[in-house]
Amino acid sequence: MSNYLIETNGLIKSFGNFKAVNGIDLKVPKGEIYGFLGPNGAGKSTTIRMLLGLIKPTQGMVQLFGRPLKSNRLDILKKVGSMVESPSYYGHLSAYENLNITRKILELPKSEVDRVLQVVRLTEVKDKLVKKFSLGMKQRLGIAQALLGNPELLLLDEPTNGLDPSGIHEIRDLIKRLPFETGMTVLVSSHILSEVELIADQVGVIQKGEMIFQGTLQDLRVKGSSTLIIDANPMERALVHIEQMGYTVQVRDGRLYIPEQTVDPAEMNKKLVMNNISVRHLSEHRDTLEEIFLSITREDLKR
Amino acid sequence: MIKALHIEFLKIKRSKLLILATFLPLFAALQGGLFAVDMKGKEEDLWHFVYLGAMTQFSWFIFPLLITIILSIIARIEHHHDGWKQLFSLPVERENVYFSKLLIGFALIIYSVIVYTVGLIIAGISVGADSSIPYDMIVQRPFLVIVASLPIIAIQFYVSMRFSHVGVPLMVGIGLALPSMLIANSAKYWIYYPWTYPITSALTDTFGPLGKAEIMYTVCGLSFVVITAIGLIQFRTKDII
Repeated sequence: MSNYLIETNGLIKSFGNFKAVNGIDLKVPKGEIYGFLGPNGAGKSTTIRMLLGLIKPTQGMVQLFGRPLKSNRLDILKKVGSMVESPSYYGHLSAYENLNITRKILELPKSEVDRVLQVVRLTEVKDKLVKKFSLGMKQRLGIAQALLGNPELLLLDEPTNGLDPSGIHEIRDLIKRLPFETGMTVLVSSHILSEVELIADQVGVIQKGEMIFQGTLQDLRVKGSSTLIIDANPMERALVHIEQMGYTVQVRDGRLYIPEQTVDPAEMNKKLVMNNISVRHLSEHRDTLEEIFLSITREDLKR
Repeated sequence: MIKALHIEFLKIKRSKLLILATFLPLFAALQGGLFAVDMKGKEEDLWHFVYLGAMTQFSWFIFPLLITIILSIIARIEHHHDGWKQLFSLPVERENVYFSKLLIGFALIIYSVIVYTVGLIIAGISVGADSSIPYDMIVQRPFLVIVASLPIIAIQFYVSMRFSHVGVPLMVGIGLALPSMLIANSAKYWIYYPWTYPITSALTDTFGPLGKAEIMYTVCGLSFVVITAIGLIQFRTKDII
């Protein structure tokens, strides 16, 4: 059996002629945090809903815990906590009553409600009606609900939506702790890479319903390019020399840009100086993950 | 299933449903009482007038309205704030949810009829009707009205579950109830319009099923089963988006 806790094969969902999800092979290893990335409307939520059996795939397979979801839905869902898009809640009930309903469905002891309230720090307002909650509090209640019973798998769709910076930080810390403390596997979706960059081990990037990258963050970094930026005097001779060395050079704002990954900056410096060219500035610019993410999602748009 | 029912009950705990299911029937009973007061001295059988005064209100509008509101609120609890997606992300069977909602709806509807009959009895006693309460009229008939309302219950439940906007079931329920008294007067067409059934079953002396009672109650039973089944099939396979 594979080590993937979530595995989908050729997952497709079409709404009429529109393919919201088009052949996704999602592979989420056990015990890791998986960042599910993509711009808004790329198909993240539709995919997550198919993982929960809320939406039936038009084609393809969903396997959770190594078993097909279709025939084991109830058993599988007992081990899954989730929050899909905006948190759902019963506004006319208090936070405690809301969690108590989920607790009863999952047949957990009462102490679980108090525990998760503590985790998301809502204990003090547990008797307040949820319709009077701020968006951030509702979001935290949604996460508390997902954490009830310490599920083995946690699916969080845009969990930091609508939170203030300190709230985002808090949720991020919480998610990061989970695999260490409980061995939980977490899938977090987001349209902002920096949100998952700090916590995810693996990422999947989807665009227009298709997976355009899946792997570790390290693998994603490699996809980025680095550019050597040189300011030298005299510029013309430097340009000629570098071109003779076989590199393509662009001149912009009085600087030379070498968009090449294999240049050794020290070697380049040495060669220029030995040819009596004074080097005033030499730096290497690497694409940040955000730039890589933007460039691969943009590339795909052009197709 | 018992667990599912208990959970449904927890959800309606703080809603205004119980208050509504108590006061609307009492209001109808009060109308009956007031009607009988007018007849005092002129007529012998005051029970009959308590019943008539209350039933003309209850069967025509108050009861269908109550059904409409109860069922639409039970469904709205989930529609509102996207409760369906959270509920179905948990290990629950969709058909259990469907039937427990229907059962809770029925429980409230039956409760409101119990309140109504108690209201009728109190109204009758307070206007000084004679001491022997005609149970077959005061108690049995209102429960027959529930049977006659099965098509309305099925249609309202279907529409409430199907449409996420609470306005749709409310409009359907109220809109179709309004002309029912007029249609009930038509000897030919009333049978095609289920909203007339409670009126017909309640006020047989006035309108009378005209030998069509059997057809009517058969339609009630059949339509309820068919509509509920169609609703369930759709509900089970629906994508929660």
